[in-house]
Amino acid sequence: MTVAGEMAPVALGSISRDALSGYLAISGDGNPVHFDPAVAAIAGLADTPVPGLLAMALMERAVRHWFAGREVGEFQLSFAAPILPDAALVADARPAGTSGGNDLVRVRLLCDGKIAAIGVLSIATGTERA
Amino acid sequence: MGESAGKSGTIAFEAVVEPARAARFAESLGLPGDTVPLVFPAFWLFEPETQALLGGLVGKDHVPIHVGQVFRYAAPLRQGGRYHVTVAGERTEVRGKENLLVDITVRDADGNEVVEARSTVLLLPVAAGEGQ
Repeated sequence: MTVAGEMAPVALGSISRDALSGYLAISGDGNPVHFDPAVAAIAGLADTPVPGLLAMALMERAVRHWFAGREVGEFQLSFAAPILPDAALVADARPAGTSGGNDLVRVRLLCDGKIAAIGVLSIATGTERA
Repeated sequence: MGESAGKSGTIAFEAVVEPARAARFAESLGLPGDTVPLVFPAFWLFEPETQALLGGLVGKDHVPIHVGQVFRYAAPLRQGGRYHVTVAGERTEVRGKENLLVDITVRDADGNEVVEARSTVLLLPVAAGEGQ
């Protein structure tokens, strides 16, 4: 099995402040940069950013859409720009060859049309999720 | 090199993927409620004992900003599964920027590796004018 030549972008919606609060409660993430504007300002941010981990988690919807039933071997993401609440998020992807028998895919997370994160997925070839 | 570069620490503990917590998180993402989201292992970074370790490495004079994340999966986590978790943190300095690298290793009850993860965290100084 190989990666399809085209993987349509997946609109992920946005992360509201309520959703952000819910995530912080579920995860236990207590980094004040995500809820205290004064701390966010230290990082040069005009608003409290969405945790990178939450944005990465949201991308799993796109991963499952593109590769339904296949195991993820590796998921790597670098956060290039802050993701702010209520911004429109879109995930896109394109094939990037194979490695060790796995399909490689370059992924991006777009935030209001601008690149917020880039990374690589490694998808096991022809395996089904347990 | 900053005086904190090279500072490190490790902690190990037993952890359970609490089904209600995993399901609530999965459903909040629009995923099936019986799954464990891919990023779930990183939640163990927010446990009190882990935060004590990592908070000590960050210090009160820096703000941590998550700039990179890698997960490598040998097997899926399962709701209700019990795991042995090791968290190792190390302060580093690259081209004048201070970072905290946090490695998580998750093994099952038989010692088989389930997940490895690395978080790269940029440490921004709190002092006025030193932020990005």
